[in-house]
Amino acid sequence: MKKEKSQAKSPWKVSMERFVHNKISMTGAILFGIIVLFVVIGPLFSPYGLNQFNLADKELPPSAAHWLGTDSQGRDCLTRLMLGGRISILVGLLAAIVTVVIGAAIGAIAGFYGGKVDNVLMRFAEIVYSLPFIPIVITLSAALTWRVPSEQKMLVVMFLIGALGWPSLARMVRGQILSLREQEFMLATRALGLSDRSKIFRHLLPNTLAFIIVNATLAMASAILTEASLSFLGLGVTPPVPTWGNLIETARDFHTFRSYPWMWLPAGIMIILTVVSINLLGEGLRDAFDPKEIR
Amino acid sequence: MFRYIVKRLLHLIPVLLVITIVLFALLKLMPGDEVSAYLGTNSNITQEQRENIEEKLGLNDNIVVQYAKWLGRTLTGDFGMSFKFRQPVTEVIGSYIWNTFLINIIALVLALLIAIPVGIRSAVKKYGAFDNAWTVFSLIGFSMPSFFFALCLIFFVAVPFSSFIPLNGMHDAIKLAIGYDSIWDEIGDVARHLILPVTVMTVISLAGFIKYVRNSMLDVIRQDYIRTARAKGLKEKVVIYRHAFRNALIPLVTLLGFQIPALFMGAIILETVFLWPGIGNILYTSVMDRDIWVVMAANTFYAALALLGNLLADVCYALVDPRVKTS
Repeated sequence: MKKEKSQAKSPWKVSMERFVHNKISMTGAILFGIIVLFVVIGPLFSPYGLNQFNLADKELPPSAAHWLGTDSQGRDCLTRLMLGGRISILVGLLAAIVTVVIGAAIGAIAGFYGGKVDNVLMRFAEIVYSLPFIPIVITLSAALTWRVPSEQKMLVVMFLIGALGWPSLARMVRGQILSLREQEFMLATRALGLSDRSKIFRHLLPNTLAFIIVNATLAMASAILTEASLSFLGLGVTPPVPTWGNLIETARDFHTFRSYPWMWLPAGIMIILTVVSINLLGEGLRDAFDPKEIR
Repeated sequence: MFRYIVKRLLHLIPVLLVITIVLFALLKLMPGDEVSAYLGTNSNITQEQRENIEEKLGLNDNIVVQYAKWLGRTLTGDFGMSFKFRQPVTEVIGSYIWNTFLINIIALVLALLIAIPVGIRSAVKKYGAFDNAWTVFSLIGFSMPSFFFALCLIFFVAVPFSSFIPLNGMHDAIKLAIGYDSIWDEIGDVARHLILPVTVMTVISLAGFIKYVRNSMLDVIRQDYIRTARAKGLKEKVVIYRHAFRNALIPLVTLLGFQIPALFMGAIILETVFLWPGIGNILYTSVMDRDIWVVMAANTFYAALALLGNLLADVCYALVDPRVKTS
C-alpha cells in the first residue's frame, strides 16, 4: 500500500478502481458472476443428466425432486436450463470475439493506411452494414445449417452473428486510429523503424483497448439476444443441444405454452437477467474508462 | 438540396446491386431443391418431367445468367412467381405488406408520443426518481428478447382475457367466415388483434427512443445559448420547449431513419409469434418452404428500406440543420 502511494497510478488502475466503486457496474458484475457460476458449476450438482429422460416422469410441475419440473420427455428442466445457459453464453462470447477481431483489424488497417485501402475497406463495411441484419441472418442460417449436425450449428450461428456485426465497431476503431496516428508516440515508432504490423497491433490498437472492451461487452449482449431469437425460430442451435432460445421454442406448441410454463418461462427470465447484467457491466466499464461522458 | 438527394440516390444503386448479388448467391447456396419446392408435396415425377420443370424454372443456366435474368425481370417490376402461392411475388407481397405497415406505423407513432415527453422530463430532472425509473425501464427493454415479451403478454394477458384480447392472427376466424356486420365491426376486430403486437413493438422501441431523446436534450441543455435564454429571463418552459427541444430534435430525426428499418426487421420475429399476416411472416415461411423468389423479393425490400432509411436520416438532418453542408 505504502509503495503504491509514492507512485502514480496507471490509467488502468484508476479505471479499475472507478469500476469497483461504481454501484451499477458492480451489480452487473456480481449478477453476471452468479449466472456464470449457475450455468458452469450448477450442472455438476444436478442428479440428472442432460439427455437423461424418463417418460414416466414427463411434464411434471416443479417439485422438490425437479425444482423446475420436467419436459415432454421427462428430462429435468433445471439441468437443461443450466446447460442451455452454457451454450447461450458461449455463443454470445464467441460471436463477440469474432466481431471484435474482424472489426478491430479492419478498422485499424483502414485508419492506419488511409487512402485507397481505407476507401475500399470502408465501402465494404458500408455494404455489410446495410445488409438487413435479421432477414439475412434468418436466410443464411436456413441456408448454412441445413445438414449441419446440431452441435456444429452453434459454431455456424456464432460466426454468422459475429461476421455481420463488425462494421460499426470497425468504423469507431478507424476513427480512433485516425486521431492516434497523428500523435507523437507514433513519430517515435517511426524513428525506431518499427514495422507497420508492430505499429498497428502493438502500439495503436492497445490504445483503443478500453473502447474495444466496452463494445465487446455490448456486442456480447446483443449476440445472446440474436442467438435466442434464431434458436426460437428453429434456425439457430437446435435440440437436443439446449440453449435458452430453443428452450423457449417449446412454447411454439400451444399446449406446452399454455399448460407447462415451467418449460419455457425460466429460460426467458435467464436471458433477461444475463443481458441486463452484461449491459450494466458494459455501461460501468464505459464510465470507468471515460469519466468525461457523464450519462 | 435536390442535387444532393439525387447524388445520394445514385450512390445507393451500386450498394443495392452488391447486396442483391450477395443475396442471390446465398439463396442459390441454400440447399433443398427448387423443383421439390415448386411441386410441393406432390413430387412423384419422372426424371423427364423433372428436367422439363428445371428447364421451365431456368435452373439449368449458370448462376450468373440466372442472376442477370432475375435482375432484368426485377427492373421491369416482375419479381417472379411464388412456388407456394402460385401467384406473382409482387401480388403476394403487396397483399401482406400493408398489414406490416399498419403495425409499424401505429407502434412508431405511439413510441414517439410517449418517448418525447418522457425523454425531455428525464433530461430536465436528471437522476431524479422519474429519470431513474425510466432508465431501468429502458435497460430492461433493451435486454428483453422481443419474442419472449410477446409470449409473456399472450400468456399473462391474452390467455386469461381471451374473450376480449385475441391470442394471435389479424381477424377472428368465425367472423371472417360468416362475414362482418359492418365495416366498424371489422375495424374493431382488427383493433383488438392489434393490441398485443403493437404493445410489444412500442415498448421495445421506446427503450431506445427515450434514451436518445434524453441524451440529445442533455447535450443541448449544456449549450451556451440555453444559458443565454435563461439569462434573458425567459420562463423555464419556453427555454426547454422552444429553445432546447427544437435543437434536440435534430438527432432524433436521424434516429428515425435508422429506427424505421429496424422496426420492420424486428417485426419479423413478432409476426411469427403473433401469426400476423405481414411480410415478415411471409419471409419466414418462405425461407422454410424454399420459396426463393419471395425470399429474394422480401430481402431486397428490407435492404432497400434500410438504405432509404439512412438516406432519409441524412436528408432530414441536412434539412433541419443548416450547418450541414449538402454540396
